Amino acid sequence: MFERLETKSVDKAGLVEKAKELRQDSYRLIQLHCVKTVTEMFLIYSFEKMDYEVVHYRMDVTEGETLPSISSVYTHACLYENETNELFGLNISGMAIDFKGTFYETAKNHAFTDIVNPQDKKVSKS
Amino acid sequence: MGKRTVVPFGPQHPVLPEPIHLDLVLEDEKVVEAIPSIGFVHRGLEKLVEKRDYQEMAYVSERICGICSFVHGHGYCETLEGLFQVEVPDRAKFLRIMWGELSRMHSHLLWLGLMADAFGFESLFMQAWRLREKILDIFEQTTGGRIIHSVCKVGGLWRDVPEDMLKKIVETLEGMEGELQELANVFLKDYTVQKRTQGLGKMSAEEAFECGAMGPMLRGSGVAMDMRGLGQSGYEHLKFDPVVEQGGDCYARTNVRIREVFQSIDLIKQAIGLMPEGSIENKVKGSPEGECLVRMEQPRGQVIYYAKANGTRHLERFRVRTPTFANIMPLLNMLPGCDLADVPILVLTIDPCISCTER
Amino acid sequence: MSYLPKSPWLVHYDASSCNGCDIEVLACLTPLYDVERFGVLNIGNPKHADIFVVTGSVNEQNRSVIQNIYNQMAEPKVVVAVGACASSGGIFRECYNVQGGVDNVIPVDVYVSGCAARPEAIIDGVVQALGVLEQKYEESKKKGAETSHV
Repeated sequence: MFERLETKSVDKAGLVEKAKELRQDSYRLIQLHCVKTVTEMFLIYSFEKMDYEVVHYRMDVTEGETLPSISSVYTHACLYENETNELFGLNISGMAIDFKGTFYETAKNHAFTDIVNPQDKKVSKS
Repeated sequence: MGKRTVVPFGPQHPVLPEPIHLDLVLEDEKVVEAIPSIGFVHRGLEKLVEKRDYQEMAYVSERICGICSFVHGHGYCETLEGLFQVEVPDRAKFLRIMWGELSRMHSHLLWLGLMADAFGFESLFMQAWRLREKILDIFEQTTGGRIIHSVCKVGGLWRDVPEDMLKKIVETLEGMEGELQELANVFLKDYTVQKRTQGLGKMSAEEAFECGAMGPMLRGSGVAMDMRGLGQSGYEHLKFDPVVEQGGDCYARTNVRIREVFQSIDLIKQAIGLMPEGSIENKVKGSPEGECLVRMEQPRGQVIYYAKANGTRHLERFRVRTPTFANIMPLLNMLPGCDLADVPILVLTIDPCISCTER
Repeated sequence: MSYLPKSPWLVHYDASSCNGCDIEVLACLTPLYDVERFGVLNIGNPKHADIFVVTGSVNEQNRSVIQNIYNQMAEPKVVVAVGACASSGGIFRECYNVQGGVDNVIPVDVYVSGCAARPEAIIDGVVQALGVLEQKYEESKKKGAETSHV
């Protein structure tokens, strides 16, 4: 009954091409977000069609990496990209609007990059 | 070509209940460009998953926003139920629908009031908020809270609603319909209101879809997309058709929201009619594991929850993409070309919820 | 007895609140609670206001905004912190971007508890603030009298 998250994979080089292809296919970008855990770091791009059909693309990245922006295909992607840039420290080149790290203007830069190992906390919590 | 001026709009502005800042580049009275800056409300609550366990996070996610608090709590619980692969009992599903639709009514009435305030119709603002108090009374009777309800938990609900109270709710809502109709008439038929809303902020169906508009913004432009139509979490048992208007302007979006208020009354009546007896919770055991992404319809549009867990009591990542975040781009597309005096109406037409956006 | 507390004007700012307390502040003005019948007005201009109602906690960006609004208000002025977040940071206290209650930036005279604060509690807080306002006014008058004698 629940949509378990099924992702297709895409890589840095093919990202913009893929986005163009999806736009041709009348998909729109509904969100992108970054996930960083102790072992991995990746981005998830979600696209949907007018008939509610949705696809998710997963792209593995490393910290501090420079990625291409898809805002040339979907302009509103730049808002998500600025957010990712500011909270996760990923550099994204060619954004339609570049806030240069002042999107949220947080007290701490790249706040989501330092991960507290969940194992440590399990002990303190009964 | 006129002289260019930059006018700062916000963060503290009489028309805005919440802080957003826009730098408006004007040419005489016309807006040429709008540059947003946000972050006045950014708290970073997604990061709290490291400090709060998955049950406590239900309370945190309710406080993403005080207007859609129930819907956020509900969305979070559904995402976690997806991780646990637990289905909630039917009674709980219908109660959640009831509260969800009540939230939609109170959110839309609140918005109608603020909209009236934005074009300077003070008494209409008061009327809309007076009606909204009746919904808040129902919330207070059934959950104990006016704004923050804390009634959802992972696997079900904290409290049930007795049968006679359900009957009372239907009676109250039926009693409201006449007053709502009066309110709707002013919004839709009044000459001065029409003057301020018609033809303003035009968006075609294609534009709206492409730039990522959600909810009433999208449906006001003639795209019939409503995540309730996915047939999830109990909506599959209800008769439901998305409300669509073709106009694509502020008037059409107001109309969508007004019609959705009446639709919500209908959905609540259906849900209460179908509500079976029985338990309201399927207990969850252990800790969540895996990845889940849920799309839902909030009063303001589609919302996306994402959770990733690794078998401990703390989630690894929790992410919410709220409807207002998606609706910022349509706003930026609508602003150029409008008059300075129309900026408050255009800002309000997306039904901005800044604390949702920035979390 | 001054006429100042007869018709106090409020300026409201949402620091980084979840909206819950904000709409309750607004709900105080609408027909069910209707504080406007007592002469309380919510206005947008800090220079006209006597009471500064703040909801939500302080973060990096709104620090200067709160300070700015406070500085623009004319003396005597009273600050009311509405809700758990404005008082101490509340549930978001441990967030990386939250620096705690409003009293980190400006002096607070009245704290209103609750998450979200109920309209009754907010009205009660404003009434308490009137007492403080009166007191501040008397003090400033006394001070003014002393300096004018010298």
